[in-house]
Amino acid sequence: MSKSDIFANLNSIKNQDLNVEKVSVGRVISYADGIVFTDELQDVQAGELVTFDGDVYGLALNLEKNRVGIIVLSGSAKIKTGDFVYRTGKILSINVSDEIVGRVINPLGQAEDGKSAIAVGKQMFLEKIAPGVIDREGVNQPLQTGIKAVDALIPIGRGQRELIIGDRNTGKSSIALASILNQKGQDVLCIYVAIGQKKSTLAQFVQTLEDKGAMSYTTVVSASASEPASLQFLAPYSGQAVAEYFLEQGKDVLIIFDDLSKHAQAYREISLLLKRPSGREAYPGDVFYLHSRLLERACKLNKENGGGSITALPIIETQANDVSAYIPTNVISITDGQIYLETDLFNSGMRPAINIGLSVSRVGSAAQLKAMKQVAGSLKLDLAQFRELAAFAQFSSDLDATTKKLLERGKRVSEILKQPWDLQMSVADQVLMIYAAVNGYLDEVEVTDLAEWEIDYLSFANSNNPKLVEYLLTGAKIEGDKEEALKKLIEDFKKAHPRFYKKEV
Amino acid sequence: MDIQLAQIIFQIINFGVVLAALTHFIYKPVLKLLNDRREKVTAAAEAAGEVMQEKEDLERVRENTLLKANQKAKKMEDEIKKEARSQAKLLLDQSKAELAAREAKFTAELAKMKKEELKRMEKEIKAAAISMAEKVLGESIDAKKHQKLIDQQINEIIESL
Amino acid sequence: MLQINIASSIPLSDSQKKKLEASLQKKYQREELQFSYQIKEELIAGLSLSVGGKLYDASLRSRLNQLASKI
Repeated sequence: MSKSDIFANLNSIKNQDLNVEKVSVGRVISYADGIVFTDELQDVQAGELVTFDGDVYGLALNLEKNRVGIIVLSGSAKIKTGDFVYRTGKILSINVSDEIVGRVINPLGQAEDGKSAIAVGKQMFLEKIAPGVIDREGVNQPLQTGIKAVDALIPIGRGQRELIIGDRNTGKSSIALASILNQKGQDVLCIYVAIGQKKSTLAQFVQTLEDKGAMSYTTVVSASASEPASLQFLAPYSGQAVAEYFLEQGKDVLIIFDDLSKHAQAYREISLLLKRPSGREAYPGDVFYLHSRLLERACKLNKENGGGSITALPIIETQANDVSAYIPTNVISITDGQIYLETDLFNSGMRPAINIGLSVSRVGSAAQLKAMKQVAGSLKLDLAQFRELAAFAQFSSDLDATTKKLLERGKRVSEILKQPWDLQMSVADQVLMIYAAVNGYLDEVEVTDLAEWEIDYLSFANSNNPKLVEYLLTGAKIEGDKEEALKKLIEDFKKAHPRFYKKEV
Repeated sequence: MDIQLAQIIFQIINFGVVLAALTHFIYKPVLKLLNDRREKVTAAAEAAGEVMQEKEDLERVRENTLLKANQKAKKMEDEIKKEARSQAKLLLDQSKAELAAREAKFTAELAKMKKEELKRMEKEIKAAAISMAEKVLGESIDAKKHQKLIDQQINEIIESL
Repeated sequence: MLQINIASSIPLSDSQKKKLEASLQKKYQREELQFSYQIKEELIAGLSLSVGGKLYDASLRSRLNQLASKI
């Protein structure tokens, strides 16, 4: 570009026609708690960006006959009563480009990680209508979380919404973190939206992602606890806008909202300050719409529209395990299933503390690999039987042999579902472990030795029969000679490591 | 000479008996012995001949095998050399392609940075121009001109109401 | 009751004020108008008038801003 082209604009000054400027303007009547009421601001649209003097922005939410309610987005300290409020004519949008991967941004698209500003790309609207029914396709590809209990019993597909619900400190964010870490090499971009979290927690989270090399495919949108409620309210929509940028390119995206309870609380705060009528638990009447319009934008598009998908994992925090409260029931009815975490299980050492009985995935085995489907069917049955008989476990000496066997099997199956948060298991490893458990090969091993058994067995399998491991990674059905090879593998391991198998006294 | 006939006949019979005895007890066994020895020698000679033959055959086989092995080794050596050369060429091509791609990316990035930089400069120049204009205007307007401007603007506003 | 705010860079003379008030009265015949005059130096030179939800800005500052946004 030659100099004359760029500055040609400047020279067009001569041709400009200047006249009296006529703009829609309002004056600030009151300003309190991040909400500005102005008198009549003509022609303003709902959800339009308005500005006070240049670099202070607000969002016009309440349009009334004589006044407009505006939530302040940034730079709020400079607003005084009597200040002018100008329309910008723009609906709120965020600037997204390919360089946004690996960055930490705030809901307005500004960089929060101290690095350079995000390169100019496409303007994505925060509020958007979800893709229609014709543009979508059924969920058919699995999203591997790397957690045995989830991938086997509550499988998640690409394009599904799966709610992670539980009390505080039950490991909800850990499941989200494990899912992100497992997307390494799976060609899935991740977005983590932190709403109302402590900055220290978020800093630790981002550090973990960086240490494990996950930031190369993850974007973090952060509206921490000290940000105004307006930014916390917008954060999930910003994350969704970033996800849609990549969805349009036909990519698969995983987005995690941590957590929507704080999001609902921020919205409640804004609505009450805007003097909107309150409903149940003081939430405004449209708190369902708040979450439903957000989660409906997570979808799987058909081939004509690029074939991309957005998988959403919203997180809701319950109080005292009460899933029948207002916000939890709302979000449960919106999502395609839930992963229910319990404090009792967590405290008794079962981590991840997933309650298999109450957790469900409504997409289920349609998005599960064939090998996993094969072994998981028997897994669910063993666990269900174990749960039924669990109360009798205390009387184990008085029971008949069949019941004892079921209890022993159930204990071992429950034990292998335990997994540390920083250990991601590939499909092959998961299938190997579950196959061994449901076919009784673990019945002779002590429950306390199972963790060690798992580590030794998996390294043994990878070194002795890497071809079988490769085959299992494809997820195809296990039959015929592959099944024989699998059985032989376990037998060989038994011979090679006799210390796990207790001697009958 | 009447005794001589009896003695001659007796001597002939005697001789005959001795001859028979000799033939039977000495001549035949000795002949047999000699025959046996001859046979043994012949057999040994034959066996030796066979062994020689076998040795020659084995020699031939050994030479053949050695020849074949040498040929195989040479063939493998050639193949390995060829493979190594083609691999080296492949690596070279790959690294050339990578280098070209990286170069292209850098040039693209440089072009983009240049464009952005120019845009930024343009913005800054604009801002500078405006503030310069502000300053100049602010200073250069005297009271009379000021009043005239305001009159003019009042008319404009009234027109646009 | 309609509030009209007039801001100018130097104090307006009475004749100027009368002229403005008259034309505004003509426009908003049915309503009672209240005028308030302010001095705003950052207008550089000129005046701006805000009534209802509309701002009529004829000052040099607004013209400079217009330029800045147009080029």
